Amino acid sequence: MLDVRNIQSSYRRVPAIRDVSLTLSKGEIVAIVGGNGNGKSTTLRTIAGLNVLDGGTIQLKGKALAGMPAHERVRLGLVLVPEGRRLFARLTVEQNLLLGAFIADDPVHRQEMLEFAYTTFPVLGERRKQQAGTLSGGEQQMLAMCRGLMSRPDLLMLDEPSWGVAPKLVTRIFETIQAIRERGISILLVEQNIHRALEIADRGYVIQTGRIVMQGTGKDLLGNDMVRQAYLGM
Amino acid sequence: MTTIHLPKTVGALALLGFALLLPLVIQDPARQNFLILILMGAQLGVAWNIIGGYAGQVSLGHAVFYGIGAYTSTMLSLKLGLSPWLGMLAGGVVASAFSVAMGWPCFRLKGHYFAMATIAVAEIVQVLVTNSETLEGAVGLSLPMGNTGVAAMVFSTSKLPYYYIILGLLVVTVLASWAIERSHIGYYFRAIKDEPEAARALGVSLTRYKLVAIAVSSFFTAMGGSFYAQKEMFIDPGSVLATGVSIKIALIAILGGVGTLLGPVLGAGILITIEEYSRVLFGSTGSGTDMIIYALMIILVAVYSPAGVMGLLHELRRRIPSLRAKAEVRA
Repeated sequence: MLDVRNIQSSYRRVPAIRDVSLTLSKGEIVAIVGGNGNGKSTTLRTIAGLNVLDGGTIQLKGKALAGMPAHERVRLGLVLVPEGRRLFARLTVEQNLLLGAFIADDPVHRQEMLEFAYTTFPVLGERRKQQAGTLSGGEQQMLAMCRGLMSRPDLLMLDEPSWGVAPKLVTRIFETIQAIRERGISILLVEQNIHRALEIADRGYVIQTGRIVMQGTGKDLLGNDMVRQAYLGM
Repeated sequence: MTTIHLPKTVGALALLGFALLLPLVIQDPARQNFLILILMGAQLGVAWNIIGGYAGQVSLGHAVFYGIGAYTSTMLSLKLGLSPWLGMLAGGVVASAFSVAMGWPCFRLKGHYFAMATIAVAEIVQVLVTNSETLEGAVGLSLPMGNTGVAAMVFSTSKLPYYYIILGLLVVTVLASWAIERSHIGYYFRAIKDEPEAARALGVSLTRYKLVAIAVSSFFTAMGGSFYAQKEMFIDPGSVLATGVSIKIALIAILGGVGTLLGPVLGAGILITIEEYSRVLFGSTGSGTDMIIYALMIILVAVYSPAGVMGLLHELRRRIPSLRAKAEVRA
């Protein structure tokens, strides 16, 4: 589904990712883990087309993405749920969801996705006429994920879905990620909550100062001594 | 929802009725002229609000579109004898085309940088027109006096026709703005304004919708410019292309309340009143007084009410019921 080879990207000539390669097959949950400032978000943003690709190749379903603007990548089934959620705070919950269906013109599908959102998270249904900015952190994250699903992506990229979410709800968020995969949508996940991320991931990559330094199944990485020492404090 | 919409429709019709009857009560031509100036300002503010308010791209170069409207209809009338009614539409189309050509590169810039680019474009066009022989340069263009009537859109005996034409233009501009506010495009505009990255990550092409916004905005701004030319029968770069015109258009919307349907109308009422009274009070010795007042108002709005007068009104309306509720609890 996704094949990323040796990509590089920088902020004003300061390299943020130097050499990142990863693959993801259909229906997989893949996690990228690592500490702050190591290039996790930049990797997702570069794949989404929000950051400029300086080198390397990105292929989605066999199609090269280099040079394609971000909004066109969405049409290929690639959706990023950005860090910090980036909801349209002054629009209602439902308006946020409908904006997510920007490229999906099919009203039947739109209705189906609204129902999916409201049945998965009944609280969103109760608050559909409420301004998105008035939701709690966890509710906002649920809304951001549902908004991302509205355009029926094949690959959903989640940037720090547990950020600013009450611990009680974090479990809920990770359950939902698995439920989304059950619907046949592949997931590329970036997390600082390394333990949780690797628990649900089929495979994981460890990123350090802009380079992939380790990869393996989620279980292997969780059991790896270096990962345990460096990130889990064990 | 219907309970909210009904009073709004009634309110809008009442407001329109009031505006229709007002010049019949106020018969002094100078006062009527003052009302026309307010409507002209309101129409420009509403037009600016489409790009500057809803889509959040602050333009300080709208004089370009205003000038294009004024010069296009006037030139078409002088050279080809085309009716200004058609000239007005032609001006709108030319301004829209120009705005897209200008927006294409300028929308690569964000925030202040976009605003500065619009100032630069407006300045360049002003200099070009000032030095253009075909457009009579700094001398300006005059419409012939003799040709009056509805077809020529020139009226010498009464101000009333001008009043109703600009009122009609304002109503059309407000309706267009209202249609955009309620349509899905209005949501894209607000999404672009609030969270451009999120909008992009959902597949909204930022540039395309910004171009739509500026094309519509410039179309109506140009129509306002054509109207000005018909009313004054004389245009020159200093009156329709100057930076002051751009600032005034933006300030009307900002003062009244950006991103609200009728905020710019309110803003025009306040700003034009102050401007005209300062002119009466200080005369030519006080030229520039209105600029000082503009500056003061920008500072006041920025510090105390970034949402403009409409923001203040909303705040009041929110507080009054809560005060009432408190009084009831005490009783």
